[in-house]
Amino acid sequence: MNNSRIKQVMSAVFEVPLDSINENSSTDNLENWDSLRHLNLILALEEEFGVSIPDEEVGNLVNFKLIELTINELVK
Amino acid sequence: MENLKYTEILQLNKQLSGTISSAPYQIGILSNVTVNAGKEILEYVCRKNQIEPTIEIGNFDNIVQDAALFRDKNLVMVFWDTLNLMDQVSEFFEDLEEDTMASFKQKIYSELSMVFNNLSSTPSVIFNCFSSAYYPINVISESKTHRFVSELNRYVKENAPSNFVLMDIDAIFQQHGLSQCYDQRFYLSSKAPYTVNFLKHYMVSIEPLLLRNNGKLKKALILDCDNTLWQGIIGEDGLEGIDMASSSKKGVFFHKIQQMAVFLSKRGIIIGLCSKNNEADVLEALRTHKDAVLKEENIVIHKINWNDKAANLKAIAQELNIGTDSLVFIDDSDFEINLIREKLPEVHCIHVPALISDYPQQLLKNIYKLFNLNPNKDDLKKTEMYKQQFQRESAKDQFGSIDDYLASLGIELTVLVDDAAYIPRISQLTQKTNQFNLTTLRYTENQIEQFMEHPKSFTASMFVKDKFGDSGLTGVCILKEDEGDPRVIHIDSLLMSCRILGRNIEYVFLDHVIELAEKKGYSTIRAQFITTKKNAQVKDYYEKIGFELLRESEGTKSYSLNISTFKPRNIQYIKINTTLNV
Amino acid sequence: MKTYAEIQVGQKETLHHIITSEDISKFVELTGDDNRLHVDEKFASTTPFKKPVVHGMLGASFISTIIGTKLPGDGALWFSQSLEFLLPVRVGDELTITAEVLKKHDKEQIIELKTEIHNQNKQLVTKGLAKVKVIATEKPETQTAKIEAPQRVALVIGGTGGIGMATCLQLAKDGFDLIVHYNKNKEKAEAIKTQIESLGRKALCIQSNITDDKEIQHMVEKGLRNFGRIDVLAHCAASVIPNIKFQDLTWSDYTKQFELNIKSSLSLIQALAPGMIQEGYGKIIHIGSLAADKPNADWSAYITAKSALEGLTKSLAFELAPKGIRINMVSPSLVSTELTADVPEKIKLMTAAQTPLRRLALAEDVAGVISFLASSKSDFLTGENIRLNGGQIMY
Repeated sequence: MNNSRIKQVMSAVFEVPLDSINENSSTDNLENWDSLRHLNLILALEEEFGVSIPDEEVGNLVNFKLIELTINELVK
Repeated sequence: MENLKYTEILQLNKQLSGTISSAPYQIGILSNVTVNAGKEILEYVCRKNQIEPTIEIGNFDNIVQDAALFRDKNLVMVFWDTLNLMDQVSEFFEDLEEDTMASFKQKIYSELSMVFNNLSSTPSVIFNCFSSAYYPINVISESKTHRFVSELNRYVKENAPSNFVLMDIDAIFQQHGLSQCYDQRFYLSSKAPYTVNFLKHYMVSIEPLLLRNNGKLKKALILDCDNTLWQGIIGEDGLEGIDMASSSKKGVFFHKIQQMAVFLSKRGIIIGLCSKNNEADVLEALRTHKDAVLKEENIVIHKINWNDKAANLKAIAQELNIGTDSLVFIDDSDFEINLIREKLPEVHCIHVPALISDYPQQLLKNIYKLFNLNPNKDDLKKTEMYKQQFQRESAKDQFGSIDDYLASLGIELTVLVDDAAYIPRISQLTQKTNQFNLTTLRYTENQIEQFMEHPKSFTASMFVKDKFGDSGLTGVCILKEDEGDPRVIHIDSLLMSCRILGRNIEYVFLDHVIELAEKKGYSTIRAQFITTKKNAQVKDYYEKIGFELLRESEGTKSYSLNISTFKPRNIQYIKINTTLNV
Repeated sequence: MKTYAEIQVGQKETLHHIITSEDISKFVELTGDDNRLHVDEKFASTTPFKKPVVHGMLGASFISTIIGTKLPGDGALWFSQSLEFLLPVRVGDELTITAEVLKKHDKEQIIELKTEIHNQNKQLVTKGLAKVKVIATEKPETQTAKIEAPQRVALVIGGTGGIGMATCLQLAKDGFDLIVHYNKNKEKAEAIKTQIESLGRKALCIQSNITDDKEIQHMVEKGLRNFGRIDVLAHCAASVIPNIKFQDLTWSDYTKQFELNIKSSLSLIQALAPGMIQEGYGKIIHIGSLAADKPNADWSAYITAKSALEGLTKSLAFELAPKGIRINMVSPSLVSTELTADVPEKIKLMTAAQTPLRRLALAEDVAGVISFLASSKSDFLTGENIRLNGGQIMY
């Protein structure tokens, strides 16, 4: 289930407990989510799912829902 | 670690953070590209080797300026990538006029020179060679880009100071493929050219340096026998059934392993055996098998019995007077490897790979990482010296009192001051000595050289000889004059190899050092004891010498000694020379 | 208090007062008139009056009381008074003071009053004629009219759509009766009517094709016949926004958007204006779009029409304001309704992520602003465009 794998990645990259990541997690409420960590997030997601995230999408992945949607699209 | 996913590395790193209580290893990263994704990977590599890192990444593309700021770090890593360097040129590089290219080159040379200058006194620097792998190759006539890059690299090789280690990232590109290492997309959007894969491989390849700089290199390689040193099980297949022949398809790999073990033993690494077998069987194999390369004389210690291997390894460490974290253990058994990983996690375990053809390469990779392959004279004699130690131990039983026994040894000390010929060994001792070490300050050769050259500091090195043999340079004392009061001198470092302890040498050496200080005109000596996990045995050493305890706080004790009132121990049976009789 | 209009000829006001010796003392102190006839018993006995006499003006001063507090009361400018003192007044007399409206002079807003004072013996002791100008106050007549206002009615065009329905319910809660317009969705309209009725208000569903002027006319007439008045128009009708690439644009794309967005508004305003002007009060509310300030690609015809709608709003607001009709609009960003259900989830999420308030607009948000624009709270607001976009742009 992509959902829980995404949460694992986010938990590791932003150094927060797994149970603190939920549907509403976004750059607004995760303190450590700055632009440098955002790049690490992209790298980790690409490695985890074996996809390449297009340039235009990189900046859009600012919350859990958008990440889930985009990954689901790419993994198809 | 290369098999771990980036996410897993991040998680493991987080778990390890805060668990290592040694002084932080200060690392500075200078770069003209974004390498931030590598920070956690580097932290993990350090932490899994019990090194606690503090990593500071310099401002983006500010290598020259930040080099000055980072000069006092323990380690500086320079990622000066060709990509962003070439991007400074807006014209098509191949079309550049020769003189434009020349002046650009000079500009880079002077920047390189400034960086070399600023970092020449840093304990350790890792500098990546420039790579031209990013650019298409012109097979017919070398492209200007390629030529330019090779010229830069030549300049670097010719001018980089001795404390620089030059990393060839092209080798990583070759081994794993440029497309796996270079992400053009991210370079263009965020100046981050390196893939997570590349960063993993890179950090693994600098691991040996991290280990060496932090005194984490290993001292002993302990091997299992069956299916580790030879193919087969001697208890079942017998002497004829086991195979270690270089001509045999299976045996050849084990043959190479034995050659590597011999290679290591010649370089002062202790080779030992730990096997569940009949001792007689194994020794017979080593002595009589026609294809055996590893001989009994290469082996310093063995535990061949039916006991639990964790206990055996512990005993080995104890008898050698080294920590279990200085051991490397090879075994083919899942069970044994898991047991040691659990019971003695600080022992570095190598599991013989399932695909036996991978075995020699695996071991060689580990050898490069874990052992110092450039020993000095004393290292080479070590195997002999451990044997001598066993002899000494057995001789002890003959004598009534300890003093009589010690007197019978005919111990001779030689103390040399500021002798530059011994800088490598002195530096090595500061990095490896853990137990008889009062302040546990680690120094590179660079730094020892600086101490010797400085007029207000002096370094005493102690050589020990007795009737059984010559232990060589086994004691170091570094003293520095006080910055405010020229009559006061501080003992910055005092350490002795555990090999020569227990013979009162530790008291005689310091007596001599104090005498030297007095001759140089000092009236007061200050000293410190800084607690670590391993040096509890010298907690009260200075008190025993006769120093006065000034204060004690948070694991540090500060002392002072008034030279004029000092009474040396005057142990007559230990002679002191001040020249070396080679 | 009475306004000039309210005062009728023949209207009368009365006041009673018993004169005391204290009244005399106060009057003497105030005026200084200590004529011995009024204050000295001994002196008075030597005069034909025999007993002290109350100052004539003391009695007459109660005429001031009636004019100032009762007829006309506040706003009276008493500019002329004639007096004849016919009989002496004595301490202890019970006086009845009356004022009666004799004449009204409309042009100057002046009333003439017969002022008389009788004593307890029904004798006329003082008589006179007063002339008073009645000053109009600052408050407009309409204000007074509203306090006694009858039930307000709102007409919601496109009442079955997302925004329309939310608006109907919100206005019902605000106390309006509703005319729910629909074109095709009769069942939905009826359902909304039921909901409105359960909130305790009246509702009427009327079908109409708003691209047809005649049908608009019929709808308005029917509404007026049923409710007697329409105070608020909320034009919430919307249709799917076409995506047309630049190279495919034609003039008819624009005219179509104008028909949908401008023509119906104009017809509706023209149909409703007469009634509103008569009442001297009306509220017209249009719906614009964020896209008019922050364009999307392929929406040129729609955006042009919505920008034109702002022009319509402002120009007609300017012209009709003196008649009491306020015209305003609310311009929301993307609203989550059936109309926008086909917008890809991703676009919606991205829009929300880029909005400072981190969500899309809801139909209730729009209804909330319409509620404000429909209420008396926004009576001084006209020609205004309230932008509702969670902070995406700020003017």
